[in-house]
Amino acid sequence: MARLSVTDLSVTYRTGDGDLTAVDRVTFDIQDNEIFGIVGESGCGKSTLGDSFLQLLDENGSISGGSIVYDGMDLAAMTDRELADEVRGNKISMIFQDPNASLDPVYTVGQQLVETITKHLDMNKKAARERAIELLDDVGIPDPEDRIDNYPHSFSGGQLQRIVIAIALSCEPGLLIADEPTTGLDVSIQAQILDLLEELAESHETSIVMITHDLGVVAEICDRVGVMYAGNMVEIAPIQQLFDAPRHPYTQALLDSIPERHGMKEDLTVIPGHPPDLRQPPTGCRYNPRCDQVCGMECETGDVPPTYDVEGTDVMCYLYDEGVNEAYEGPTNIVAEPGGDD
Amino acid sequence: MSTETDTQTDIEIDEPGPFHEFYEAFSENRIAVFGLGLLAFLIIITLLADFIAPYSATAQNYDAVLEGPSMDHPMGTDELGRDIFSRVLFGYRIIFSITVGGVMMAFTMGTLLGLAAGYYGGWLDEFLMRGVDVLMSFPSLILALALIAAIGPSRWGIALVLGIAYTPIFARVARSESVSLSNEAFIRSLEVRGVSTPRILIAHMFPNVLGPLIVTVTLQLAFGILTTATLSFLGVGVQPPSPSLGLMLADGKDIIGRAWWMSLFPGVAIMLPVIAFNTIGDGLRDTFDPKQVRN
Amino acid sequence: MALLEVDGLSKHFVVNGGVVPRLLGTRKELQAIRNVSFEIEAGQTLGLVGESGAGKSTVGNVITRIYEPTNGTVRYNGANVHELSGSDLQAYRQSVQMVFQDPYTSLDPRYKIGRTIAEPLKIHTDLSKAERKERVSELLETVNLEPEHRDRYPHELSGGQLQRVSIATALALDPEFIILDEPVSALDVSVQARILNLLMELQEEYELSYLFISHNLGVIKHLCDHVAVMYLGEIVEQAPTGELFENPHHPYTEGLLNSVPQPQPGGSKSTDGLTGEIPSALNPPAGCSFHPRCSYATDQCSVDAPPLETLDSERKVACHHWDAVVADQADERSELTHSSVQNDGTK
Repeated sequence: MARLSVTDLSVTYRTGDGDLTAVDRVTFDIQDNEIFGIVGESGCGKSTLGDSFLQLLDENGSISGGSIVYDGMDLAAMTDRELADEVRGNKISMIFQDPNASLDPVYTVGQQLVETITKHLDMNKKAARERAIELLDDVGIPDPEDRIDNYPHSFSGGQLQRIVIAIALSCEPGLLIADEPTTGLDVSIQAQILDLLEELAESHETSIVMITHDLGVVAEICDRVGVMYAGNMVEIAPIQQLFDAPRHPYTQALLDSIPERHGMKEDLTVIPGHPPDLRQPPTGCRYNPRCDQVCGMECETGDVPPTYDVEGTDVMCYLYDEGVNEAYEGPTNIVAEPGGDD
Repeated sequence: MSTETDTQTDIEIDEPGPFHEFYEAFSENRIAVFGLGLLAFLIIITLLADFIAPYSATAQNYDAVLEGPSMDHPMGTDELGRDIFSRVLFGYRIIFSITVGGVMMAFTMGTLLGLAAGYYGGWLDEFLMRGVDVLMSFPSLILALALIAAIGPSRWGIALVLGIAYTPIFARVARSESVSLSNEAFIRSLEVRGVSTPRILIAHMFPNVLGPLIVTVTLQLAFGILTTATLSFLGVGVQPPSPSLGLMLADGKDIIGRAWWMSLFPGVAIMLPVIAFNTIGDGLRDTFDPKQVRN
Repeated sequence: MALLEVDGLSKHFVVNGGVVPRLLGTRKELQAIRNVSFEIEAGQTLGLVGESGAGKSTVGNVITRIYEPTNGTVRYNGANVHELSGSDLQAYRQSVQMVFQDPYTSLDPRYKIGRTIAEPLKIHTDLSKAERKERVSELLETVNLEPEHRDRYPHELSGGQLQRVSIATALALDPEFIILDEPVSALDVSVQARILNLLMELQEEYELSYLFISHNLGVIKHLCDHVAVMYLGEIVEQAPTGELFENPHHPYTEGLLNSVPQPQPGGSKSTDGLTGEIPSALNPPAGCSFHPRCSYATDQCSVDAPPLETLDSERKVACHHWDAVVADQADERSELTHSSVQNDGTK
């Protein structure tokens, strides 16, 4: 069953030089107990998408269309107040790249855990403290009874991220949004944190949205992945399928640019050009100016392509449309047209 | 000030690219623009004092002693019958030259010391900064009085005193900027490329710390005007008969009931440039805000 | 003779160095690198890999004379780098260049690109202004930028473009040896690919030697001929790239390789990665500094620091139990081939 359904979601920033649609009509579901990866390069809109679930967007940004349905509620239509009272930290919580930024340096980690627990759960301070110690133990902080009274500065970066995860999971949320949670960490610590997230997702029956630029991290822990390019979700596929048979030309090029997928000293695949300026995105498919597989007029004109279902992969590309790509022989299954409201 | 570096490096002369952005940001700050206008006005009347002033600053006229403001004497006359308006104009000339001279001296010395201390670190840093601490532990007015007592009151003496008293302030600002800057990768990459240390300090560090320093310059100019006026007020500044705003204020204070114009106009005259420099300084500080510069 | 020989290099920093800490005795020494030795042959790339606190960047900074070494020597073409002066030093400055991690801070924000690239030419050569301008255009072309970029300021360019400017500046004086300190860590993968391709092309064309400092094992594996693995200021293992990745001899190398998330799902999971945290370099463990995190550690390891042993002509390792590590891997491999044979059988 889908735990979170995002339909035709758009997020727009007002800037001095015109409106910028950072997330453009994105549709996807997150299943129960699933780790769903959102991957893409800087500026593709992945973090904006993550921030939009809890409406944590910058002041000049707002959800400009679509819905985010969680547990029967449309998060996109809720006010800030309602989200703070009913959803944030309670049903959906979020962790960020820099654990330091998520913890207040003047309170002990225990005080911060207890604060979150007593706010959302009906528990007295003593019970909350017990629970806090349990949680710290769960996330692998040694001697949690003693360390609970320490201040954030006495922990290492890896331990802080563990504590942030403990706080995020303290109220048993159904969904955890993790925005580049391991990016600042050393590889050995990153591996530990990824293991921890995987383990906790299972034991706490939490679904995770894993936002990252690192295809290695995606391959390591995600069940399904969405690839974003210039505000569009261009491909959604089960993890194995994405790496074995990437459908979208961008996904293919992205995978080909990773050194690990090439022999030593071999030339890496390079994507020509730059991502577009989203204030004036190209017509047609947003990837068409950089694409080496343009297959028809449609690629370069009109709106963005519809989403096609190709053997279980949702891909936003005309290559999989018999009407456009003459070389394509498979069945054409349009699952979503670009939203009609634009 | 920035032309100094441009002429040194003859490769390409900067276009006003970033300055245009700067201008736009600054011009949005209306109070600062007002301050700039006020300062421009003061500078113009000071430069043109010879043409504007109806009388000489020292010409005495015993037929017109302690006259109130009139068509002949827009700001009245003092007890020797000297025209206050003319004395204010020529007084500006003196107070500006002293203050600008002193602050520029402090700017040059303080910036050099601060940049070097921050860049080299180690014992040089310790030595220079402890010296700065010692200087700063005296209130600058007390320090100035002590120095004046040593070198005797004169126009350039005061400028020198201001220069010494304000050097620590510039050294502090330059050092803190220099410390963070010398850790930046581009400074290290210049070292690796074999760029000489004086060149790194002058051609690379200096332009990058100029923003905060200019703010300090404008704010110190405001203080400098006040300090110069105060020293004159206390009688250890510019010596009579040269027109001095501080001294005029002092002369007027005893007979303020009889001749209010003798105190009011010099007082306002001191206030105007202080307001101008302060508002410009605040505006510059907002404009140089690192967050805005980075974007 | 190798182009660059680093021998027994140590660099200690004083933390808390003020007068008061000195009197109170709270002055501490941070041993950023300890007894580091390696060689780089002309035209080769040595990768220096390790996690934070390993001292990788300090090695680069000592070689470029940003820091004086506490102990040991760096020899370049046989001459001790830290004793150079005058024209020899100038020559060294010309032939050894460095590219830094963060492209946004490694260029003077107030200098146009053209002026930044021209600066080393101005200092080290007597080219005329017009000649310098021409050379700048050439260099921009070499790194695949447009001549128009000369008149831009750093903030107008993207990260990848800036990194290419850094490379162009490094190339300005026809260097022989470039230290690349995490040159692609701040870049997106597709941009990273371009920079890596460029570095490989340049190496071939100009016969450059590289010291490639990175925490990214994938990048190291792709580009380097030899790899040295550092942990808490020491080199723990050094070997030709292929051998190091296929057959690590040091438990830390093994754990590090297992920790890297592979962009290939279903591969070996990171469960046999490294446990524990990296200790502070201010207070490294006694004996082998890796022993608290090591599954092979014995009592000996907490007392004796293992020396960097030369196993064969190419491989060096600092571990008392490297033979056990190798034996374990052999076991695992035979198990793996065994089980895959069985799998094939059932099919």
